[in-house]
Parts: sequence; structure tokens; C-alpha cells
Amino acid sequence: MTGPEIDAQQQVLRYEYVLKALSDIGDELCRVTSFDAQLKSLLHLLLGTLGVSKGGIFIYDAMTGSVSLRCSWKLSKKTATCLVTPAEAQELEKQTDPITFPIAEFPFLKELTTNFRDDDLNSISILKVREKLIGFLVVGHKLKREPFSEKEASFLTTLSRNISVAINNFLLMADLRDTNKRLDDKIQEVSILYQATQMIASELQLQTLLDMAMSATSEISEVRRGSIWLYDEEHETFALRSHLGDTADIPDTIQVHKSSVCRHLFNTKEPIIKVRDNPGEEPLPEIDQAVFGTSFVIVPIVHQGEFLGAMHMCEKTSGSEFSDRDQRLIKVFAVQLGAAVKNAKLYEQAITDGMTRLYLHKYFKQRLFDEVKRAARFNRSLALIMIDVDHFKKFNDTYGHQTGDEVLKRVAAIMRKAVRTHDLPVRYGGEEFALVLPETDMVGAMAVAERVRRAIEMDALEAGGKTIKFTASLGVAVFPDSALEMDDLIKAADVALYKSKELGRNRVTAAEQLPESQIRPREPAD
Amino acid sequence: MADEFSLVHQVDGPVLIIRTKGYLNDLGAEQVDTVCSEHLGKDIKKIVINLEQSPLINSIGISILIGVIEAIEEAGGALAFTNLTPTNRKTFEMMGLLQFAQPFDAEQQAVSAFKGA
Repeated sequence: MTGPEIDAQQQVLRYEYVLKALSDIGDELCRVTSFDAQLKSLLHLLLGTLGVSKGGIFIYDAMTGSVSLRCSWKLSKKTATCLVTPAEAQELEKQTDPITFPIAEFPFLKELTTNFRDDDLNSISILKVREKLIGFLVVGHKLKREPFSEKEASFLTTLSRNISVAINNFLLMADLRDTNKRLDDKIQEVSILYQATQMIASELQLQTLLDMAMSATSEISEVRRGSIWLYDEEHETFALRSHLGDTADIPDTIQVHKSSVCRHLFNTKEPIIKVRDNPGEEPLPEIDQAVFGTSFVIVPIVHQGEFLGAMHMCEKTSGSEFSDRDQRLIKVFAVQLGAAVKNAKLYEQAITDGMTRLYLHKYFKQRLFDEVKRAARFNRSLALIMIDVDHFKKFNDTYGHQTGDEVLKRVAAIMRKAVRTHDLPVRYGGEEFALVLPETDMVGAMAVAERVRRAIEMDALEAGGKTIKFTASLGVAVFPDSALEMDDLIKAADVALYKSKELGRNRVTAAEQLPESQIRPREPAD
Repeated sequence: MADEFSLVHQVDGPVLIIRTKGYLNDLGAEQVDTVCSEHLGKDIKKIVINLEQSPLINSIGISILIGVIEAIEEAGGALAFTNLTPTNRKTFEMMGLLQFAQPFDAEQQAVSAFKGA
């Protein structure tokens, strides 16, 4: 081969080598690696193609205007940052040709290039896609400081452009992945909230609502311990209404003036987020630490500016602190809960008697009707106890209506204490009360009735320096033993009650049992 | 596809021998640079790189070998490549690597040459 032929063959080999590098850049883009690993591969590809021993890639952050060394090979420094002014960025973005400069002649980033003086860098290239600045590429010299040939300078520009596109694509992909992840998270958040609010939206029974809310909250935030408190305006206390996890150390009520947490919630209506071991923060009073823990979130339950109570969560199952996401979800949920609690309270007010806080006659009839139907359907027993305060008229006449009312309140309190969650204590009218006990037979109902009778007998009032005792007569009827229809059941209990009166008052009487032939045969429940 | 890159090295008198395995086109090849730097620091300045098990070397591999050459040059040492495929030999020549490192057909030849020098 002649000299020119050898030269031509060398040229072909060189082009082939550069083409291989371009193809490797394409391959690199298809690999699933981290951004930093990909940048490093791209940098090595470029250095190896040019035959250069060192170099680095700087990435420009358009949000902050900073330019930071993200990846380097054999440079004296692993980190370096400087700022590019918006005017400089604009000028750099407009620069079309050349994009590669000898390092000493580059009019920008002087502070940065001076930092790398010891590295004896050769050139710097602007990395950009269209008019978007991506960053900068710096490279050292070839072995023996041989200058770049015209062709090599052209390779450098071509490879710089390819690297710019590769970086831009990667950043766009990363951005897309981030956006997708954020979107997925949002969808999940909305779905959790939707399910949680659906659960509580239509519930009117306050206690059931609060228990549901507690359970929904534990699912939203994955906590082991939590509590829901309602504010009692009359006594200026927070009353524990529902809880999750161990409550051994938690009192039923907290007086607002004794708890800085409750005071803060009441006064500001703002959430409290407390993280463990936060130096510089005043320690909480003992009562607050015992009730709420050392790391917790408490959000107020507010409806249209009215403070209704608070929802508290602590001890994440993961052991971690509460995240921004947790706090966001809990706050949104608390807003929904505020409306639901207010509705339930209004409903409760509508169906309860203001003085005794027992259910009203109208609600009693509706519930008893439902309970009789349910007992018949599922082949269960249902007990009804009617209670009448003995000689109540005499009380009113002798001691005045105020004392009479006090007797009614005492009897109501005894009844409330005697019942289980699903029992129904009722003010039937005047001095007459009722207790509806689902899933209870005559033996169980008689025991409850006797307990109530005795508690009333043991109670006493102090009025005008006198101790006033009072008693009540009770009648017990049970479905299906005493009656098969609601009205008959009430009648049977009433008859039993009047029998107690006739027999001398302060006693419990069971309703007569229906003849065996009238009691429908019991079939197994479906 | 390609196995992951790996290498073994041994010191034979004044000579460090590195035997690479796998394609020298992966960032794992940075290990060659690390091993050379460690031994140059221990005053072992004659290095033989046996590329018999690395038939494919692309720009990434070349950039790492250029770094090694520069470090050996600065330390006043010497480098030899052995068992180069014809393609790799052409690439090394084209990129000017063979101006700084002598190619040998076999590892033992390179070690003997360094020991005799």
C-alpha cells in the first residue's frame, strides 16, 4: 500500500471507531441504570473516543441557576458549583456555533474554570438541546499534549451534542417518572380518603361514627395508637370518645386548663405535630406526654369555625415519624369528620332529651320496631324494661320541680351506667323510663332490672339540708316469650310495671309468659 | 451477553501483572485504574496488562487505559499489553496507546523483558 492509501485506511478506521462510540451512546441510553452511572459511561465514551485522559460533566439547574460538577474522571476535584446569571444563561442558550472553546478563551464560568487550573484542561463545550442549556463538558489533553486535529475537534462537537441529547432525554424521563409517581401517590391518597369519608359520611350514630373514624385513621396513617376526643363546652373538658391501642394511662376526660396540648388546640384550632427528641422545644406537661406520647399528630375537629374536638395519632407501625403525606391526609380527613360529627351531634340532639340525655319516645318507638323485626328475623331474644319513679308527684309537690328534675337526672345516669353499647336507654315520658336490651332473655333482663332498681334505691339527694331517698318500680317483658309484636311488648312491660306498683312499689316484675302454643317455633338463624 | 468484568493481579518481582476478564467496555473496568494506582503508590512501576480474556474493548476501555498510561508516565514506569487481538491492536495503534506501551504476544515475554531491563 502507498502512503496515501495507508492514511486513507487510518481515516476509515478512525471514523469506524467514532461511529462505534455514537452507537455505544445509543446503547447506553437504552440501559436501565442510574443517571450518574449513565453520565459516567457517556463521559468515558467521549474521553476514550478522543483519546483524552480526563474530563467532567457539569449539570445546569435552571431553577436555581447553579452549575454543579456531576461526574468526573481524573479531575483534581470531585465537587464544584457556581452560579450562572439568567442573562448569561440566555446568552449561552443562544450560542449556536462554536459550542466548543479552548478553556482559556471561554468567557463564562471563570470562577469555575479557575478552580480546575491544576488539571490543565484543554477545552469546554456547552451542552444544550435546541435552546435549552443542559450543562458543560470539560476535557483534558491527549497523551503527550498533542493538539486535537480538525477532525477530532469536530468529533468533540458531535459527541457533545449527542451527550446533550442523552442527558436531556434522561432528565425528561426522570421528570416523567417523578410526575407519574406523584400522580400515583395522589390517586392512592384520593382513593384512601374517598373510602374513609364514604365510611363516615352517612353515619348518624355519634359513637359508631367516632369508632369508624378511629379505624379509618389507623388505616390512613398506619398507627398503633390513637384517640378521638370531643370537647365538652359545659365542663371545659376533652372527653375520650374512641381509641385505638392501649389506653391504660389515658383518663376519660382532660381538663383544658391542665393540658397545654388541649389549650393550644382549643385556642388556635391548628394541628400539632410533634417529633421525638426535638431539642429547643419545651417538654410537654406530664399529662400530655402520658396521653399523647412523645411523637404524635393531633388535628382539631372543626366544623364551620366551631371547635368540636380533636383526633390524635401516635406510634406509626413502621416506627418512623409522621410524613408530610400522613399529615396532609389526616388534615383532609379531619375536615370531613368535622362535618360528620356535627351532623351526628345534631341528630343526637334531635333524638335525645336535653335534661336526662336519654333517647326520646319517638326514637324509642322507631328503634324498638327495628329491634323486634331483627329479633324475629334472626330468632333472638329482645328485652324491654319499663321503669317508673315511685311517688314522683309527691316529690314535686314536697320538694319542688327542681328536686324532681334532679331525681330524673339521677335515674337517667344510673340507667346510662347499666347499659351496654347497643342497649337503648329512653325517657319514655314524665317520670317513666325504658330500657331496650337486644339479645337478652328474661333471666338476663331481670338481672339488669334488679341492678337498676337497687342502684336507684341506694342513691340519695341532698336538698335543703335533708337527705332524700327515692325508688322506682320496674316491669320486664321479653320477645318472644311475653309478646310477639312491638305494641304488645310495650303493653306487657307496662302491665308488669303496674303489677310492681300494686305489689308495693320498689320492685321488679316479669311479664307473664305467653302460652307455649303462641310462641312461634324457633328456626335456626340464616 | 457479556459477562461482568473482573480481573486478577499478581506481583512477580518488580512487575505487576493484571489479567482482565470480560469486555473492557464497562465501568467495572475502572478497577484496572485502581489496581495500577495502588501498586504505583507501592513503587511497583512496571505493569503488564494481559488482555487475552478481553477481546472487546471500546471507548470506555480506551479511556481507562489512557488514564493508566498517564499515571505510569508520571511515575516514570513502563507498561506492556499482551495477547491483543488484531482489532484491538489496530485500535490501540490508532489511538496512540502503543507509543507508550509495548505490545507482546505472550504475558511471559513481557514479564521477562521487564525483568531483564
